Amino acid sequence: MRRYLTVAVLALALAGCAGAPAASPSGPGSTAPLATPASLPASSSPTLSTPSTAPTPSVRTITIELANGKVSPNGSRVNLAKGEPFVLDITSDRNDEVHVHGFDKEIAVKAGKRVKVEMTADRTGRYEVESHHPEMLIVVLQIR
Amino acid sequence: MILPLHGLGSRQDLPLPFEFVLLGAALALVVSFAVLVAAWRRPRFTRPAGRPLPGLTRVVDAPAARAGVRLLALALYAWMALALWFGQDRVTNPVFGFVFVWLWVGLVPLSLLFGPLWRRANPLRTLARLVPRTSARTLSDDAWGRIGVLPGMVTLLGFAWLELVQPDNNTLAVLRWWAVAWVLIVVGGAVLFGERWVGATDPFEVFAERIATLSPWQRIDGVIHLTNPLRHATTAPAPRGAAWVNCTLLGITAYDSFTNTTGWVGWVQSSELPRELWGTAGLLAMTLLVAGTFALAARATAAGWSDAAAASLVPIVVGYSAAHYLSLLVIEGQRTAILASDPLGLGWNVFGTAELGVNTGIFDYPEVVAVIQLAAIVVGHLLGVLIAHDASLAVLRERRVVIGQLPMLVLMIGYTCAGLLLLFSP
Repeated sequence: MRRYLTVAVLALALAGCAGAPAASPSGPGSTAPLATPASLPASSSPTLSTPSTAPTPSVRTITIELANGKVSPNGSRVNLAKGEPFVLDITSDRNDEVHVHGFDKEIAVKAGKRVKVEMTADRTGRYEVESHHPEMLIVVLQIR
Repeated sequence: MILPLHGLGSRQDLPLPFEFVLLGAALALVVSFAVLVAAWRRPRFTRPAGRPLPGLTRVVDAPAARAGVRLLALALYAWMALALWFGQDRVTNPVFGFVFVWLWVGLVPLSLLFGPLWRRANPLRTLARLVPRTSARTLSDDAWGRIGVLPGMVTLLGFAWLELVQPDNNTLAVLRWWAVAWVLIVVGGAVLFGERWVGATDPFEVFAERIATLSPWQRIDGVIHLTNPLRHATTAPAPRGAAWVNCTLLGITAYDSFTNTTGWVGWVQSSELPRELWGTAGLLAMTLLVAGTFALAARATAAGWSDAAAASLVPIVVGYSAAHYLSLLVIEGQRTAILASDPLGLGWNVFGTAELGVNTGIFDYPEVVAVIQLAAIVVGHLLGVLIAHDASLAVLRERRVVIGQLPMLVLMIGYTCAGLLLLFSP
């Protein structure tokens, strides 16, 4: 139990450091409860968080932010192993869709609401994740 | 293809592993210098030669065969025009895959395997013949020689712009405008100036003709000969502008690949300037970079810039195309064949393909794909170097054969390493 707590605290601390400016000012969306703090740190930074020490099935979270017509991450790559589950954690200041190419997945995003979608990287290749209004390349999934 | 053509090109190949990039670069170096010191010292491909195939020529030239090929291609265009005009504006419309995959990518293997087939099949030529000529103007042979395929370079860039820059190029409204412009320019011009106009302006024919010079089929005095593709490429007549066309083809493929790099994507997306501006500038800059470096290397050799010298670029163009678009051709080519059964989205199954699924087996072998990509680039490089070697022997004096070839060799190593790096996609 102590290890769980340590991990949770660490993750929260990390999230706080990395994402404080982005997470604080927005509306009700930012107060979305954290379901599993140990495995899903609410980091708003564009980088990936992989809690390496977490004993629970660690799911990669790709944190996506759509704000002021810009996207974060801004077209960078994420490496995933074939068969690996991952979570897209999306917040947006506008109504939009996030399209995961090759998986035929269109995720509807509401302004100020946070959406989490769990997916499995079940095929190899490079797949683009894009917003539609405006059309922006957010992240490229590289699955091997 | 970078543009989010929904469904089309929705998956791209994994980056080439970096060890492959190094291996490819090393192979290119070794191959180049091996050719330089060990290959033949007298020009071998000075004139067309090969095994005459009069029987095959008779079959190919039979009126029935000519008409059959024309009708087939015309029917294909008509079918896709149906989809373009009356089909649904959705991913499931086969016209997108037809234009961007079957034509743009598929014409490369088609022309390599069957030679100048597209010139004979080209539905725009058939259309131009169906419309009565106004015979307003006749151009002299001399004038046609000066025009060459230079207009084709412009229309090729136009097509590349549609593919890589044009917003919403995955919608019927946009594609219709381009199709109308294309047919008006090519067929309209042919009505005014004669059918040769098609060969000068139709981007698909212009580019297929360049690729066909690397096929093993060459006509000598009207008879089809089975020949060494290197000899064919070296001795095939190069129309004015062929060098520009080859450089443009290389530039387009390189730019397509370049737009996938994270640096470029991030730069364009955080810029305040419209991305169409970046896209246009990038496409032109890449084409000029290829043409500029080719011009420099050509100037440094005795031969100088010439359309014939650009024959050595054709295998490199083919290698780039194969490495970049193989998976696209396999996957989206199949999808297009499936969708072609139902061009209007009414649930038809005209060719019996509608119920088939795309065989995605190729996804399970990323290593094999990477090996094929590497092989395509390196073999393209080797063939290009051999063509350049033979061509330079014909113009360089004995004592300068090694030194004189160096600039072209360095250029080709540069193109090859750049191609590998773009596949590595930093």
